[in-house]
Amino acid sequence: MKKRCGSKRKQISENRAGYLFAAPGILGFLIFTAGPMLMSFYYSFTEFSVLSSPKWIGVQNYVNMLTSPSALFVKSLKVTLLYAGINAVLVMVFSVLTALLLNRNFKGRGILRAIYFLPSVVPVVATTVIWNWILDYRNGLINQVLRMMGIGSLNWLMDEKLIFVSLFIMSLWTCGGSVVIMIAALQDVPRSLIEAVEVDGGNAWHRFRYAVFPSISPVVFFQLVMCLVNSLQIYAQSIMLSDNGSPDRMTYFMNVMVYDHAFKQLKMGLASAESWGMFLVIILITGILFGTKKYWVHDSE
Amino acid sequence: MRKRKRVLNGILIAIAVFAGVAFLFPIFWMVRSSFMGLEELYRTPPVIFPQMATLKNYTEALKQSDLLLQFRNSCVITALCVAGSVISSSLTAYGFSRFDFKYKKVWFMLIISTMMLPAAVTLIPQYRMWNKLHLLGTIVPMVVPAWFGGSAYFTFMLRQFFQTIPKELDEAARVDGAGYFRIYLRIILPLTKPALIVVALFAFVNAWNEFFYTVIYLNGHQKLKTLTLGLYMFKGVYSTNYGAVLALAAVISIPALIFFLIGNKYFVEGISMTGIKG
Repeated sequence: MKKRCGSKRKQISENRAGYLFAAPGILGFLIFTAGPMLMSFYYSFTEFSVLSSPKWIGVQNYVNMLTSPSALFVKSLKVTLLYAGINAVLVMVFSVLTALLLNRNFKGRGILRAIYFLPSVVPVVATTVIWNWILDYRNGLINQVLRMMGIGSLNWLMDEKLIFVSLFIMSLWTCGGSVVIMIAALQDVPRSLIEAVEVDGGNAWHRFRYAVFPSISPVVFFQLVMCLVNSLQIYAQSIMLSDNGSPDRMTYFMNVMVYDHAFKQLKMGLASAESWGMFLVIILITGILFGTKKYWVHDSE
Repeated sequence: MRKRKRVLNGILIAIAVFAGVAFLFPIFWMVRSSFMGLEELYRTPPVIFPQMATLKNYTEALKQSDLLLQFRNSCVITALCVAGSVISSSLTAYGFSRFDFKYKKVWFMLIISTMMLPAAVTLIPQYRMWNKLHLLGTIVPMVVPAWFGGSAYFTFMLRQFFQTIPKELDEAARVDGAGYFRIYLRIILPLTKPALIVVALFAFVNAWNEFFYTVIYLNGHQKLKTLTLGLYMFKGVYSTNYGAVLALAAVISIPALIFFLIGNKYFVEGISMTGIKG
């Protein structure tokens, strides 16, 4: 009897202590995520600028953003998804390959790892300034070299297709963090698994396919999702390189558009609707990604 | 067969080294160009090293932008964000790793899921909230969120790490009369120093490089500009002499690079040690 009472008291105090310690995170979630999410969902059915109070207009914002050619939502959605989708895959392939290279045993690999990691701490605005210079049409190093080779100048920053290539270059240059994580994952691959493949006469590809990849696949999956979500929020590169997402709105990414509509054109209701539209698409895509998980990701625990 | 393997190994290492050099090159190119006068900067074919090295770009960049003020703002915001992130995410992680409270799993899932939430969705209501509180035009919107758990990534990572510390240690301390907070302060934190350093380093890089919220909350407030915002403005008005823009980019990258030199070891170790891998 006494004991049960004591354990109940312990539970209450544990309950209270748990909530007390977790309070910053829980309050932060309520104040900065849950509350604002509900509000922006409500705003998406209204019309207002910064100071005025929202006026209910039903689904008008959603209709406008999908049908009005000037709203540019569809274009922004397209370029954002295109960029983020390709970028996430590129970053994963690049970081796994680089990690495989750097996981070999050789002198100076510590220094090399540091070198790959270095650019990822440079502020993204500075990164863009650097590449803007290297890829400059007239005076950039790349075009100077291309001209010397007789190929001629390429419009890296103002061509609708090449701008994406340029953005991918910048992104790969700064994905050292991902490489470091992959190296850490590679070091956790059980030796016994690799040896088992070798005993069966497997070559390097077999080792990767049947031993290495299955054990790093949970890490790859997690990194892929995180990279995708981060890439969807690309912003600085676009506004550092051009106004209004030129060329031809190819860099008019989600955050650029939402900022543009909410804070320049003061259409906060429309911007809310657009962010929710984008969010629903993201949920759908990550949902599909999680659905494919069982085909290529091995359970870690 | 053995020989072929060694040749292949050599080739692969050569590729890794070559790519490493290529990775360093843009930074070298920025520094190199920042020491060049206009004439040399735009010369064809390009010279590799500046032959008439000059500091003119640096003096120009210092003169044109409010560098000291921006540096101070960046430092204040970054320091507050780092402190807030480390303190609040470690407290939250302690709560989630050590106590069985009601709906714990639900709360944890909700907090973790915010990692996948695009900032744009919460942006406008947050902006209105700060506006209602009359805190626009201050650095409060930039730092307060860090004091409420910061990035969910930090909480997630620290919780993983805290869970590796045996609970028996807590219980022994409880028997000795230590309270929960004392256990957090005297047992958990000292034992998880490497993970806390990683969180601090990540928070530093995030805050120092922050741009999206900076544009929204600090743009247009002359006194509150940070270095990243300063570079953005400077590039906009100063496109005629790109050397000066590169000089400013180099200057604002220095703290991040210094941090890198100090933190690289912890970073690499910390990532391997913590649950950050997923």
